[in-house]
Amino acid sequence: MGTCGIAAGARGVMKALTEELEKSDAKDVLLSISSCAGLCSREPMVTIEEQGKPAVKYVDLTAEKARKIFSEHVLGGRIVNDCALAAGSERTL
Amino acid sequence: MPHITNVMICTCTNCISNGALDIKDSLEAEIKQQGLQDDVLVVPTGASGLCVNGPILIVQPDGIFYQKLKSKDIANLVEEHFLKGRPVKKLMYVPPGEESPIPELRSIPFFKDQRLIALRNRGVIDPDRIDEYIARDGYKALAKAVTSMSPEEVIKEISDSGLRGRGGAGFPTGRKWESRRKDTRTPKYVVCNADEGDPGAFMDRSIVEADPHSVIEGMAIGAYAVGASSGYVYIRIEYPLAVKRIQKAIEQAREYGLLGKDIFGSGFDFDLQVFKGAGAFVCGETTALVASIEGRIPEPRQRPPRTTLWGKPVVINNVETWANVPVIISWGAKWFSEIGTEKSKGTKVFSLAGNINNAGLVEVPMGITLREIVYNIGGGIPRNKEFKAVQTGGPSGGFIPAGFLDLPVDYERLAEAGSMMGSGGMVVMDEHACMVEMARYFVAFTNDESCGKCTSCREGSYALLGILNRICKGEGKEGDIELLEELGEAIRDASQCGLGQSLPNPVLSSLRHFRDEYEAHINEKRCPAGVCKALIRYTIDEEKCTGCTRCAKNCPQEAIIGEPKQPHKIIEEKCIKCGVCMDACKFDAVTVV
Ligand SMILES: Cc1cc2nc3c(=O)[nH]c(=O)nc-3n(C[C@H](O)[C@H](O)[C@H](O)COP(=O)(O)O)c2cc1C
Repeated sequence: MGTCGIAAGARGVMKALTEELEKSDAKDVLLSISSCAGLCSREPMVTIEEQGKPAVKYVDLTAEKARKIFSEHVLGGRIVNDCALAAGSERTL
Repeated sequence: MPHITNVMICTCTNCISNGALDIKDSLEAEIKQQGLQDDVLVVPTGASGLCVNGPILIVQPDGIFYQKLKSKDIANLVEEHFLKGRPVKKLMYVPPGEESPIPELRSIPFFKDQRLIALRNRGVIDPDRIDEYIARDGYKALAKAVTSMSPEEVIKEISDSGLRGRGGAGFPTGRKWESRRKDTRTPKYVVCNADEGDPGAFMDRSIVEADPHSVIEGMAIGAYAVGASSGYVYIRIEYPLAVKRIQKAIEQAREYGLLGKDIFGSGFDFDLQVFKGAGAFVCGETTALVASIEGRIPEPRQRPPRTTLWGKPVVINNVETWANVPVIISWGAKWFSEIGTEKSKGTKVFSLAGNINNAGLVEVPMGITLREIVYNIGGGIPRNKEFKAVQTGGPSGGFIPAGFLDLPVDYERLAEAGSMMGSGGMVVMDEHACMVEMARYFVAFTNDESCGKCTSCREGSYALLGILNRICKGEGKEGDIELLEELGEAIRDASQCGLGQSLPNPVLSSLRHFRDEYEAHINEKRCPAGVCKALIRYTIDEEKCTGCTRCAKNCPQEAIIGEPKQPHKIIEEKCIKCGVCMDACKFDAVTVV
């Protein structure tokens, strides 16, 4: 949720995820914001971090795609290939 | 030179019977077509073991596996993967048991060559939660500095690291701190310059939005080093989200005792406040910035004497400079100074914008070439257009042409090429950019933003703009080029602050590298890029026009006539040269002459 993400529609994605999370009753899911991840031209982006697995970055999202990612990946554990960019983390330091 | 990428194509009997040789031929042809033959080598190999899914390709060093290829897939594959650096998921092999063919993040060219120091927490933490910053070693460097290092040791560490200011001029940070440390007047101040007024630049905004605590921690360390107990974050009001995030971060740091009295029980006191600027470009200049904080008109003044705030010593550093400080204290000067070039250490954040596939924010080690930034990280120019120039340093910088693409990016090299590092805006231009018009755009900006104090800057920019306007309108005269050069040099020499001193740069650098474009405008009344409206005409090619009527339907001026299925024609008197017809035509029949 940096300026670039918000301009591309991140608020709608966030709202969809908040609603899905509330509906799902899941107790082990934490929804959190972060800011610009660098690839502004592919915003809105979402990163799913599951314990013990490489984080997965999704790009070019809409509220609809976000709902799909929530049910298939967050709840179902299956990566949604059509909107996934890559898995893993960037080189820091 | 070795090839950057090797494409292993399996040419076992099985794959050949599946068409591997055809695939190999189309691959090689396509690679050549895209001009990638020096970067990508096609290597025939023996059986890979998965040949039931053949023909098979393995791309090294990425380790990406493509299967069941058909000749018709190749053009798209070469363009997407080798040119733009986006592996084509639908052609990838999925190992049994693994559900995901998604590539490793660090194998994607956009991310591969980046190294995050200032942006170390981007996209991974919630900027509104101090705990997340702390969980990633946040405020550890501040603890180390105030509890185990003397101020002199902190300054030595920063000096030895080779850190130079990221706000434009590249002044050695350690040296700046040392001079303020030695100044005996008190109290002292530290300021973060988050004014960021250059068009096309968004590095500092992104850092403050993504990781505000990195700036606060850096400032606290700097304050300890120079002996300051209060500071300001000077940020433009046009950055509302960044303002909100930094304000919240300051409150949280206070709550945690990381700002305030007796930080870490060391006896060191430091607090910070946000100062919202009204958003004038000149307010980023240090003497104007302090005038603005003091409530005066933000007019720069002659230096020396050194900039002061309320008549007291002040350290002003850029957002990115501050964000680097905690890492240097944690990891040490030696570690930091091993990154980069001889005189430019560490990394630099650039905002990539303009005609580029991957627009965004990138952090790269100093010394990386412009070519790597534009083509690998940036993914090249959209629709395979020709690269023309990259503009660095914003309105104070210059244009760097294709011949300099292999230039390593550091403070000295960019200056030698007639541009400057500036704060990190990088605007890429393709063949359809007119350099005279671009120079005119930047001069119009600086003319507008000139505070008006120095005649050379106020009137000089006005005069430059007048000449450039004339040239773009086709009213250029012999002698204009020489006049632009003479005027440019005079403005540079006679202005007090960096705004005036650097405003001729876009003109002088475009004259240096693209003089022929000025000459075409002036002597032949022609705009080679087809941009300057007074010098161009749109026409419809009768041979290519199918009479589909799309252009006529889209023309806002009803300036296009013609019967359906018959070639159309543009009525020149009505045409406003908006280019809508050209975009609408599916047959490339509309051209600019
Ligand atoms: C017209 C003008 C505008 C400037 N704008 C900025 C700015 O927006 N941000 C910035 O950090 N430095 C800006 N600078 C450079 C500052 O004057 C100063 O060099 C810098 O903030 C010092 O910090 P550093 O050593 O960390 O780079 C500007 C300079 C000029 C002449």
